[in-house]
Amino acid sequence: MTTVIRHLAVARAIAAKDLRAELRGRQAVTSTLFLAALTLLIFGFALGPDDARLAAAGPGLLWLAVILSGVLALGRLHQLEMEDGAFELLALYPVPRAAIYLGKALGGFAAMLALGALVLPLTVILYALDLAASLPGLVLVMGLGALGFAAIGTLYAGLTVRLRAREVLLPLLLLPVVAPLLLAAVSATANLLAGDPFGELSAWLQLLIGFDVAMLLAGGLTYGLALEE
Amino acid sequence: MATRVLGIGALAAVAGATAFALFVVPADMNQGEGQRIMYVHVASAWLAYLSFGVTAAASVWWLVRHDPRADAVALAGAEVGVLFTAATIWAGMMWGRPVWGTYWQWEDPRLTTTALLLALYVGYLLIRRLTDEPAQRATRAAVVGIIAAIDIPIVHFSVVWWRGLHQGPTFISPDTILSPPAPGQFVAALLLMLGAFSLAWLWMMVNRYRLARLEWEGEESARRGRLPRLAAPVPEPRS
Amino acid sequence: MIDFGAVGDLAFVVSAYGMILGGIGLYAFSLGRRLRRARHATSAAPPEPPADRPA
Repeated sequence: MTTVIRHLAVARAIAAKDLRAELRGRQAVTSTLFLAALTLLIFGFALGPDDARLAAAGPGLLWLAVILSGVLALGRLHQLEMEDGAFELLALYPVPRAAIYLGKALGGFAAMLALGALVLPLTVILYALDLAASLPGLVLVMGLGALGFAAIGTLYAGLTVRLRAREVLLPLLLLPVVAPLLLAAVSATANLLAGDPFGELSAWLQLLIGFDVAMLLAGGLTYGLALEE
Repeated sequence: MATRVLGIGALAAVAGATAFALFVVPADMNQGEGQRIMYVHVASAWLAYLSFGVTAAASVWWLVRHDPRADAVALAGAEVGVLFTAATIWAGMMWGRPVWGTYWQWEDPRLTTTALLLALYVGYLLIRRLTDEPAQRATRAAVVGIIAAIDIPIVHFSVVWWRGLHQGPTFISPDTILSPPAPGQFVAALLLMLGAFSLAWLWMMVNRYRLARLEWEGEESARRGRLPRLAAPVPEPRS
Repeated sequence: MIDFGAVGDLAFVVSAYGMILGGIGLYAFSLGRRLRRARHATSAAPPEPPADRPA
């Protein structure tokens, strides 16, 4: 039991460190928030001005904005640490690798939630989505999607951070893997907004949960390999 | 050499299976001549997924044992796998064009899953290309290979649900509304093509494995040549 | 369904087969060449440099 507590303590310390650095102006995630908003705007130029078409595409555009800026955010969370030399130090700490992974993934999760919290209201405004009573459900879907993306994104960011081509390689690796997450999140979002007419919602939520669990496990088991090099 | 025999045998088998599929088996009564592409599509798909299973298993083997042979098997599986995945997609598109009127159909789960499979393993090959140190390369690739293998079943389910829930009753996939006039020959053509392709697959796997081993040995000796010699003999690195 | 006509249909299928088998064959051929080149390279490799003993 004490090992679990230890894992959590280490994870919390690492996540808190990331949060503090961000609040002190590290700009790993905050810059991507502007990018997410901008993405939503230019999607409107690309697909508009027909309101019906934009509203129909709304859930997809929402998640595209989250994921595309999320890739950048997760990459930068590792990159800036690497540039400071802190990443190498992280590997030297005599703590369980899974705990380090958990801490980094928590930080990534927080970043994704921040992106989601910005993108959701913006999408409602820009694409005239009718939230109705679906807000709690949307928050749940956003949380599950953010968690899964952060889980695998943190692992791949750690795996590619030492490579020169990491800015290209991270999205190249990440986007195919998260295709089912994207599919499920968009479908769940669309169903929630429509009032779940066919009762599909639970199936998509199960898929999201399954994805999250699988990726968290994979990350916890293999992140150590990315650290040691 | 035994592989030479294998190669010649594979070539003959593919030629024979192709001739059988194109000229002996009667055309399907529902789908017409276009249905014949299915033999290649199914055979390629089977070998594509087999290859990536091999890569995943070899990746685990590498992580556990750090045996360079494991890495060579993983690489062979990925490269040959990409080949057969591309063939599967191409055959799927060629089959689809006359039937659907388009080259692509988002509702076809096999097509979309296989396209993602291709993307996953191109990523695998790319991260290998961008890592110079052999052991590091093998480890990074192994992680990517295992994650990809975990992902594929999830992709499959998500795409099948995606299509199923959107109620496409009139959707035609290569496996539906078949009406072979000679079911025995239809099955035989399928098995013949599968067997012939499997022989070709085996030949390519063996030779790609050998090439990978040679490349690894070449890199290792190049590294050793660059390192300064020590006064005392050094024990052989764990292999 | 698109009607290619009796001959056109089969011609399309044959050309599809040609493309796919051709692509696989191309890979197999280039694989053989890469392997041969690699074998020549290792057999022609210069012997290991003599050991330098530190003073």
